[in-house]
Amino acid sequence: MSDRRGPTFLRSFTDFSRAFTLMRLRNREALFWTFFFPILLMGLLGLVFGRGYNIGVKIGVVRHDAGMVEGVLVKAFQSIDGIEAVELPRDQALRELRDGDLSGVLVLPEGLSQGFADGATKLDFYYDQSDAMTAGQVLTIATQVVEGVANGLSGYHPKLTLQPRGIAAQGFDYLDFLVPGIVALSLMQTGIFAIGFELVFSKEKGILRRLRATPLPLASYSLSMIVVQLVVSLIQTALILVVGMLVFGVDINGSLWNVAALSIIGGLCFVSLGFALSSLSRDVNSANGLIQVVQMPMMFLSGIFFPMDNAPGWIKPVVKALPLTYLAEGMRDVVVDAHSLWFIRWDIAVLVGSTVVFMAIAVRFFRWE
Amino acid sequence: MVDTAAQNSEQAGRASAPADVIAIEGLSKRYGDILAVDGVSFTVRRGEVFGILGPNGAGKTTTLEMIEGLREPDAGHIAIDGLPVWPDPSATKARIGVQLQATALYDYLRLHELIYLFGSCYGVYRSRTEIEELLRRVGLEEKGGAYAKELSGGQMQRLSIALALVNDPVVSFLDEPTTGLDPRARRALWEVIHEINRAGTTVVLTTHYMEEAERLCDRVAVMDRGQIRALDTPRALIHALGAEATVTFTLTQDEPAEVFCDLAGALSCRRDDPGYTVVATDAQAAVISLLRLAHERGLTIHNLDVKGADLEDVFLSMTGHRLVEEEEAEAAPPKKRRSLFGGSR
Repeated sequence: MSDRRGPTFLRSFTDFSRAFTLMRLRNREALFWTFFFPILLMGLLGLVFGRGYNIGVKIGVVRHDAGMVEGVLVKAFQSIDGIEAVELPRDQALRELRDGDLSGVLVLPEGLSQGFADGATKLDFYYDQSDAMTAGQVLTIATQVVEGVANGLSGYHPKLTLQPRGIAAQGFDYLDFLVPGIVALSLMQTGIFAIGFELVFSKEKGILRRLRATPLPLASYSLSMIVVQLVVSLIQTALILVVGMLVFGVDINGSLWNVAALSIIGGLCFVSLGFALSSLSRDVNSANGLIQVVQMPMMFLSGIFFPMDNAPGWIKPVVKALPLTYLAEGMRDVVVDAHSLWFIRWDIAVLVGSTVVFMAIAVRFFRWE
Repeated sequence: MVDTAAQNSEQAGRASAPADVIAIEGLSKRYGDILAVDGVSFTVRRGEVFGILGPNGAGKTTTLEMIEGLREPDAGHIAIDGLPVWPDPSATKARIGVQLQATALYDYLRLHELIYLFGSCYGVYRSRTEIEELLRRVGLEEKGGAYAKELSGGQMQRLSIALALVNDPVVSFLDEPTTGLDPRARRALWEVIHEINRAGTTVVLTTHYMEEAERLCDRVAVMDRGQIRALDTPRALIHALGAEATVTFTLTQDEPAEVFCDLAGALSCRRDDPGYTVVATDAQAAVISLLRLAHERGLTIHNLDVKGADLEDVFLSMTGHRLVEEEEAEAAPPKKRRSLFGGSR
C-alpha cells in the first residue's frame, strides 16, 4: 500500500530532470540542432566571410584649430570612396565610436598647423574594437591618407604618423565577432525550441493533462525542464567556444565564470520566451509558426552575423528591441574583450527584464489543454 | 435495485473505509449555453466496476473530469473515500488512478521509465520488480524496454491502464478505454480490466459500447444530454424495460417505420438503413402480428431476425436515439494510434 503524502518536491524534480535528460539524449534530431548546427553555421560563415569582408566605413575627425594641415587632412579623408568623414567634438566622436556608429576617430592635437613645421607629430587614431572586421581596413586607409598628406606637405620627409589606439586587445577578425554571436544565437534557438515545442507537444498529446491528474506540483515539473535546458545551454556555449578556439583561432580572453553566468542569464531569458510562446499557442502547428515569427527576426536583426551599425536607420529601433541583440553584445564583450559582468550590466538588465516579462506572459496565458 | 456488486464489495474487504468509494450529489457543469452535466447524483461502491454509458457528447467525460479533479463543477458535491474533491483536489488526486482519452506519452522514454516517472508523480517510487509486476498485470511484460511510440493502439491503452494503477489507487477511472481499438484488442482489454477489478481495484469506466457495459460492469449509469436516465445492473435495466426481443427485417417496399409500432407488444420501432427494428415484450406475438400486417398490406419481408434485447435497446427506448450512430471505431486500423477525440467533453 502506498503512502498518501504525495510526491516530495525535490524527488519529483530530480526524477523529471533525469527523464528530460534521457529524452534530450535520445532525440537525435534535436541533438543535431542543438550541438552540430551552430558549429556548422559558424564554420560556413567563417569560411565565407573570414577575411576581407568589406562594408562602408565612417570616420570621425576631431580638430581643435582651423589651420591649414587640419583642412587638408579632412579633405583627404572625404575624397576617398567608401569613406565618410565627419567633423565632431572629441567626446561625441569617442562616444559614437563606442556605440558603433563610427569605425574610427582621428584626433588632431592643438596647434597642429604650427607644430607641424617643427618636427614629428603623432596623431591618435581610435578604432572600434567591437566592429573588428573593419578595424584593420580602417587603420590601413587612415595610415595611407595621413602619410600621403604628410608627403604632399613637406616633401619626402614624413613627419606626421598615425598612432593606432585600439580600446582593447588587437588582432580581431570576423570570427571574433561571429563566434560569440553564434553562442548567443544557439542559446536563443534551443531555449525557445526545446521549451516551447516540448510544452506544446505535451499539451497537444494530453501528457500535461495526464500529469495534472496526479498530485505532481507544476513547479517541480517546469523547474526540471528549465534546469535541464540551462545545463544544455552551458554545454552548447562550451562546445561552440572550444571549436571556435581550436578550429578558427578565436581568442577567448574572458573569464569562464563570466561566460557561464551570462550563458545562464541569456539561456533563462529565452527559456522564458519559450514558455511564453507555448502558452500563446494552440497546438504544435501554431507554435511552430509563432516560434518562427519570433526567432527569424532575432536571428537576422540582432547583429549575429553582421554588425547592424550600417543597417538603415528605421530598422535600428527593431534591433534595439530584440533581447538577442543584448545577449550577443554582452557575449562579445565578455568572451573576446574580457569585460566584467558589471561592464555589461545594461545588457544583463535588459535580459533579466525580458525574462520577467516573458514569465509573466507565460503564467498569464498558460493552459493545461 | 439489484445489487450484484455486493460480493465484490466484500471481497475488497476494507471494513474501516466507507462502503461507497465515490459519493456524488447534484453535479452540474455549464459550457456557455450548454448544460454539459445537469444535476448528476450517484454513488460508486467499493470493489465494483461502474460504467457510465452514453453517446458522444452525453457529458460522460466532463463528469469524470470533475471527479478526477481536472475540471471544477459549477454546482454539486463529490467525495472520494469520504474526502471532498473540491475546492482542492490534491488530496483525492493522490488516491485515484486515471486513464484519460487520447493520452500519448513521451516518445523517448521506455515503458519501465514511464511507469517509474508516473509513480514518482504520486510520491510512489516503484522498484524494477514492482514495475515488471505491473506490466505483467496488463499483459505488457515483454515490452518493459520498448518506447511508448513503438506500441500498438491496444498496447498503448494497456500502458495507460498500468499508469492508472501505479499508485495503488482506491479507484481507477478509465475514460473510453477501448474506443478506437479493433474488436480483438477490445476483448483483450476487457480481460485486463476484469483482472484488475478481481484483484480488488474499484473501476469507473465510460463507454459508448453497450456490449462493453454488459460484459464488464456490475452497475451501469445510462447518461444522455447531461443527465442520468437510469442506473442499475445491466440485467435489471434490460428487465425493467420489459423487452424480451428485438425483431429486425428488411422489406422490398418502402414503408414508414411508425406502421410497425402497432405490432403486438412493440415498445419501440425504428428504421435502420436498410431495414427496420422493433423492440417488443413478446417475440412470438410480435412476429405473428408482423406477418399478419405484411399479408394485409402485401409487403414482402426478407432477412427476418429475432434476438434478445440488450442495453442498446434500453438506451434507445429511454432516449429515442442510438448509442453509436455508426461503428466508426471498428474500421480503425489497429496499428495506427489515431486521435481519439470523441467529441464528448
